[in-house]
Amino acid sequence: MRKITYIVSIILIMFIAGHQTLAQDTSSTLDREDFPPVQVAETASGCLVTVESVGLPYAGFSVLNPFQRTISEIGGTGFIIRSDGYIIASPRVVRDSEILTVIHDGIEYDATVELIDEYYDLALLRIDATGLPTPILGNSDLVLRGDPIIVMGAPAGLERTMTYGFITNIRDFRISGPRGYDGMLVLDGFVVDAATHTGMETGPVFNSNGELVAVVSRKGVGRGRPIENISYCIPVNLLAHLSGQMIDVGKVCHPWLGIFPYIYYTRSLALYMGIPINEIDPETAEAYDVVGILVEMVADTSPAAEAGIVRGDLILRADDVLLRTIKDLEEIILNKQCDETLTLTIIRNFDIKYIDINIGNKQEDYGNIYFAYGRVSI
Amino acid sequence: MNHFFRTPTKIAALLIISAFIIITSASIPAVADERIPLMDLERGGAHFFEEVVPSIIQVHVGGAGSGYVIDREGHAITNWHVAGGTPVAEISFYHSEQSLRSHEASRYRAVVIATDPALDLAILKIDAPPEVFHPVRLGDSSLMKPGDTVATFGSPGGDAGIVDWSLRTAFHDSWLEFFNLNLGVIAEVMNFEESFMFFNKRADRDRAGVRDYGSAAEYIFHIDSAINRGNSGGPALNVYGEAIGTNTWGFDWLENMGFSVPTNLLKRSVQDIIEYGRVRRPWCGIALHPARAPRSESNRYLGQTLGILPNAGVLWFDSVPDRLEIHTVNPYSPAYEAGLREGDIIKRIDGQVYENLFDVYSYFLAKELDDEVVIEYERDGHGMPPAIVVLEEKKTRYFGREITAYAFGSWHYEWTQYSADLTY
Repeated sequence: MRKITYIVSIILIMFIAGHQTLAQDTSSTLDREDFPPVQVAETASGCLVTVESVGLPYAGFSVLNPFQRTISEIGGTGFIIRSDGYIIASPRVVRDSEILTVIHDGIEYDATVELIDEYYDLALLRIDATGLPTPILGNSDLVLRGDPIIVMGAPAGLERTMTYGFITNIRDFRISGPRGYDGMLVLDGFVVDAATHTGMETGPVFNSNGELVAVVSRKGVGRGRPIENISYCIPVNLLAHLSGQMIDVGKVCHPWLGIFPYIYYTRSLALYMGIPINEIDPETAEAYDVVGILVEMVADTSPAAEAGIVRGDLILRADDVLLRTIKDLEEIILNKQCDETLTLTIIRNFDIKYIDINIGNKQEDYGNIYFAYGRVSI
Repeated sequence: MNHFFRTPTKIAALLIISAFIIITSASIPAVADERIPLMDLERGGAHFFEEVVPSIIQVHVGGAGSGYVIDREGHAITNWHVAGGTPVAEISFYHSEQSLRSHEASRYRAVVIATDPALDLAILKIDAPPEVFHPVRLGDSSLMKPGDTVATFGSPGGDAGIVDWSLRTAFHDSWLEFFNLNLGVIAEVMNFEESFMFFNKRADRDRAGVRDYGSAAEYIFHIDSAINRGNSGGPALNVYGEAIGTNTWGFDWLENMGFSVPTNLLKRSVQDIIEYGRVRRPWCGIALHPARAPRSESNRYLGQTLGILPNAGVLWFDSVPDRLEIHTVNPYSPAYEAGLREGDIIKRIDGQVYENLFDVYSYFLAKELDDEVVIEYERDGHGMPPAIVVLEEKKTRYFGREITAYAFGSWHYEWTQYSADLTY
């Protein structure tokens, strides 16, 4: 009898235990601690700052109110890149500002603009503080398509805004630049589908470990139509390189030849023009239809003009690397530093030539800018 | 044994062991799920991308759209509004090394076998060696519920073919995205009536030449991941990497409202096209519209004509349910053969009284070829002997303005004779 009661009690306890485990499974509430955005928002948002700029833009002249002055207030995103007060922010916000304020952790600081880099669309600010929290830099080479990311920012001054999304694609993209179209090319930049709003430029992008992997550069712009949820981000490896130059050197090198390239140059076009590609470069001609890059125009004051490149030259190789697209050439240039030498193999007047060019820094006004409107020089 | 049970420590040990067994057995599911989820919204879909991207294609027809391979013979699904206007298209596969630089290595020619504009479907046959085909599994879209995680693939930005090279800058050149992966959830499963309204608001002015076009599906998915121009034709995939829909369209000025035609609705047309080279859809040949009842029948409509009640003109098909009138009869249709003419008032269909157009369409959805439908109707106020309509495949073109009620899955409205629809 006692044995039976023991067995019954054991079965009962087993039943209760099993029931309890089931109950735990079903009645578990939403565990926010396990959800990465929440953790990252708590740990990584320390480096986030809000940039507020008050400017006095020219607003025209009004007869009715000749003393009218318009004040513009812009809010934007920034983040601390170095603990002694260096902040990365967006040029759109800090440009032409009369009063520049940086708000970090509820404290307002007066900020000064150290450097504005239009070609990478980054601005370096300095505030008078030390011991500020900085983000942990991740390795952007390890990022894969489909990885979850958190974008933080302060769009229009709304502090500590966070959006969640994924790495949609990894691809080259061009930064809008000073004229809106001729910024630097970012190789293997990130496309992100988290919502980014106006004012979230230079918003830090964190991975699920809370490491900084990228910085928002701009939104995608369609051809006359809006594009949703496509934003381009600068990888953190490039950002670290750039911010190092900005802080230590005081300027950023934008490697540049000053060439306006034609889309590409095909073998059929060469035959049509009577250029004997096969004799000059048999390997190139047999392997690919695209045989080189045609120089459509040369910037007046540029390294290419100094080295004697002229309109109509056909570039076959750069540093003995075969060129198939414009990006192939641009990639080689971007991997160089200023004042390094690049050897181009070109065809001019049915002759093959080798030209050495000292790579220079990209110039905003190179002389013939009006002829080059809308075109990107490399 | 008795002795064993009397020792309290051993009893406790036994209890702990048994409880442990129960807990572990409870935590392991009884039936192992063979399909492994490849992604979720917390950890993302890096592995998912690698798994699925070989079966995604980019379709070049002046602009670019998307598509996906569905079998080893090289059949691929894309949208009618992507590939409907051309007999031949160029496609390219994802090429991991050179994808960002050039696509020449993985470019192939594809023939547009047939299209189904009613479901915005086009089937391509890719002319490529069989080893490049990694088909997507077609999933069961009826299992998808609002809140389920989905992924969409596509090449957004490629909608407008730029032919004016002089206007083309490197900046504009970079709008074309290649093989973007977007993760989101199903925001809503829209029913037949809603899908009708949304489809009908679309006015496609595209190269196919169809000016106005509307259709409805039994249900469609509203997905909150980004669907831009150029995403059209790409798949919406569930967490297992199975296609549960084909992304069709979204709003230009609203974000995160993309629509996806469920795979289950496409399956029949896909099978038809692969097997017969065309869609064999049962067809009746009449278009119905709801007619207002005479004033004497209803004070409601008197009120409407006097402007007392809110005007029902905006949602006319919703609010005037009393009579279904035949608006158009295609003269080469089975309905015409059975004796139905314009202006006839439909009383019963297979013995059932219908007050709403959508109910009629829903009833026709389930019909097959050669099914008989008995339509009781009245003409000029007099009852007529019932018409027995044998549903058949649409074989002739009726030029001119035509509104056609299809039996399966869709309601199709053609404005011009220059339809992209080559199959009917």
